[in-house]
Amino acid sequence: MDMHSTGFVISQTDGRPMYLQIIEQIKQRIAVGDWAKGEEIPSIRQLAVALQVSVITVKRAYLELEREGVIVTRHGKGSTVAADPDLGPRLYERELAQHLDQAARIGDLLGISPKDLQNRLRDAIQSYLSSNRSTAEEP
Amino acid sequence: MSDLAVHFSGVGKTYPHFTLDDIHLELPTGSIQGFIGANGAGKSTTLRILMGLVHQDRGTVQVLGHSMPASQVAAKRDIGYVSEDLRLYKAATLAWHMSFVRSIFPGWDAAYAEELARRFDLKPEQKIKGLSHGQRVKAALLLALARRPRLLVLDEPTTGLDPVARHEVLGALTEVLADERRTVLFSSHNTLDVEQISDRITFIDRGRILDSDDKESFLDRWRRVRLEVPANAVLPEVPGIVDATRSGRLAVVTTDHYQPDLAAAYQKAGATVFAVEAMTLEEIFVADVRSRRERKAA
Amino acid sequence: MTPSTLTTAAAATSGPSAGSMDFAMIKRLVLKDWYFLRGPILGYLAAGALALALVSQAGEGTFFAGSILLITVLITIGIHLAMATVVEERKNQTLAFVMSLPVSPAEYTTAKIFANLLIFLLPWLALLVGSFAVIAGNAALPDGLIPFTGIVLLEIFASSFLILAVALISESQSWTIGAIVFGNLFFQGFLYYVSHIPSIGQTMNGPRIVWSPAAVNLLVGEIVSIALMVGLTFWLQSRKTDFL
Repeated sequence: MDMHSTGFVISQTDGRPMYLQIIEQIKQRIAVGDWAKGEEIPSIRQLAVALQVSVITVKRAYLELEREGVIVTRHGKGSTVAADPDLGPRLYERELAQHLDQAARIGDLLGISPKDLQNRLRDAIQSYLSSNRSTAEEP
Repeated sequence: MSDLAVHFSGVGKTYPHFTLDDIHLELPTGSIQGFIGANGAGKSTTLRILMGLVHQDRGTVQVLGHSMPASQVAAKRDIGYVSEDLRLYKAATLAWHMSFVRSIFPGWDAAYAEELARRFDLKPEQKIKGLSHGQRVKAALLLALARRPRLLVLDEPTTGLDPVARHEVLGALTEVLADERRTVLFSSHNTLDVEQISDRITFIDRGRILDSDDKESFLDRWRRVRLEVPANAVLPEVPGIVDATRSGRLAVVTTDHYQPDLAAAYQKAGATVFAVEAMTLEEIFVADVRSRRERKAA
Repeated sequence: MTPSTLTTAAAATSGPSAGSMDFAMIKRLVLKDWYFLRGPILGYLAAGALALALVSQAGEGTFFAGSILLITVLITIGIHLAMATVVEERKNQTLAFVMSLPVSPAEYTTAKIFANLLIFLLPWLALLVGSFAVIAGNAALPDGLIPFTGIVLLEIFASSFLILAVALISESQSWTIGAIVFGNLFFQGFLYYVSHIPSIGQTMNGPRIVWSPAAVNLLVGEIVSIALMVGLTFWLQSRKTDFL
C-alpha cells in the first residue's frame, strides 16, 4: 500500500476528534472498496507517520475499528480489513443506529417532544439532500 | 523493568528568582511527548537538566539508562538537542557543520541529511550568518535529525517557522517515530502542533508539573458545559468542576473529569444543559493553569 | 609546560570522566577553534614579522617602533584568543551547540586550554625565536637583551593565560576585560621592575648574554605561575554545577 497516496485528510479545525476522522475515513475506503476485504492495511506506526499524527491517536482508531469488527489486528503481524462480506452496509447500519440513539437521548435531555424531533430530522434530511444532490430517494 | 527513555524523579532546582520543584517525568521509549508551558515556566531548565548542562539540586535523572549529569557524555552520544538558545557558528557554512557533526557521530546518515536539506529548503554552501531565523532552526534540526539519535530533545522546534517549514518539521518528527526504538521530547507554545503529534502531554507552570497524561485522555476528560440556570437558583455543586462562570441565567462550567452523568446531575438540580463541548488543547491548558493559579492565590 | 602536566592536572581536579578523557573529541574541538582563528593568526604573524623587520633596522626610532609593535601583537593575540574562543562562544550561544555534543565540562575546559595554548604558542614561539635571532644576528643590537626579552615575552604568555582563566571561570565579559586591563597595567610595572634589577638592567645593553640568578628566578617564577593557573582553572571549573 503506497503510503504517500493514502489520501487521508485529517483536519484539526474540523471540530471532531482526530481519531474519529481517521475511523470514518478508513470506513469510507472500505465501504467503497478501495481497501478490499482481507487486504493488509498500514500498521499503526506507518499510518501515524503518513498522517503526521501521534501513534496513540491512530492506535485508538484501530482499537475502535477492531472492536466494531471492521478490521482485524494480529499481534506482530499488522492489521487487515476484516473478511466479512457485508461490511459496507453493516458498518453504516451500526453508525446510523448509534446516531439515532444519540439523537433520541439528547432530544430527551433538551426536553424536545418526539414530534418536534421528527420534524427536525426531516428538515435535516432535506437540507442534506438539497446541498448534496445525491441520488437517494425522497423520504 | 519498564522501558523508559527519560525518567525524572523528584527533580528540583533552586535559583534566586525561580524554583523548579518536584518534577516527575516518564517518557517511554518509542513515544513522543509534548511539554507545554508559559515562558519562564521551567521547560528550558528541565530540558537543560535532562542534557546534563545544569545539575539538579534534588532528585534523580535517568536518560537512556544513564544517570545525569554524571554520565552525560555517554547519554549525549544518543541524544539530539535543539534549543532556542543554541546557535551555530555564523562564520561557517551548514556544510562545515554537517561534516563536523559527521566526524563525531558514526550514526550520521549522509543520504538522509541531503534529503532533509532538500525538504527543509536549505543550501549547505550557505554561511549560517546569511540564514533567516527559521532557516537556522531548520539547520540545527537537520544536524540533530541526520544522526538518527535514539532520543530527540527539542526546545520550541516549530516556533518562528513559516507554515510550510512547520509542516516539514512535523513530518520529519513523526518520521522519527517510525522506528519504535526512538523517542522524542519537545516543548512548545504551539498547542496545535503538540495536539497533533504527541502521544503524551505534560503541562508545566511556575516550576511545577500541573498535569501529565495521554493526549487522548486529556481531550476526553475535559469538557465545557453550557447551562441555563433558573433565575434565582444557585449553581449546584458537582464534583470535578474546575471553573464556573455565570452571567445572568447562562453559565459555563469547565470540568477536567467529564462523566456522562454530569449533565444528569445538573438536570436534576433544575438547570438545562444545552451544550457539552470538547475543548482544544490550548483551551484545556489555559483553563488548567488559570484554575490552579486561582486556587493557589485563594 | 608539557601536555602531560595538563593531563595530570585535569585528571586530578575534574569529575567522573577524569581518567578517561576523550582525546579524539578534544582534538576535534581544538581544530574547530583553530579553523575559525587561522585567518587572524596569520594576520598577527604578518604584523609580527613586520615588527621584527623594524627592530632589525639600526635606528633607535625603528627599534622602539618595532618593539612596541611586537609586544602589542603578542598581547593582542592573547586577548583575541580568549575573547573569541571563550567569551564569544558563550555570548553567541554556540556554547550550547558544543555542549550538546558528547563532551563533558572537563573535556570542554581541557579543549579550551589546549586550543588557547597551542594557538598562542605558534606565533609566540615564532616571535620569540625570531627576536632572539634578530638580536643575535644584528651587530647593532646588544646580545645582552636576550634574557630581558625572554623574561618579558614569557610574562606576556602568563598574562594571556590569566585572561583565559578569568574568561573561563567568570563566564563574564566584564571580568575578562578587567583581567585584560589588570594584565596591561601589571605589564608596565613589570617592565620597569625587571629593567631595574641590577643583574639584568646592567647587562641588557652589553654584548654578553647573562642569565643571572635573578633572571633565572623570574623565568622559573613565571613558569610556576602558569602551571598554578592551569591547575586552579581546572579545579574551579570542575566545581561548577551549571554549565549554561
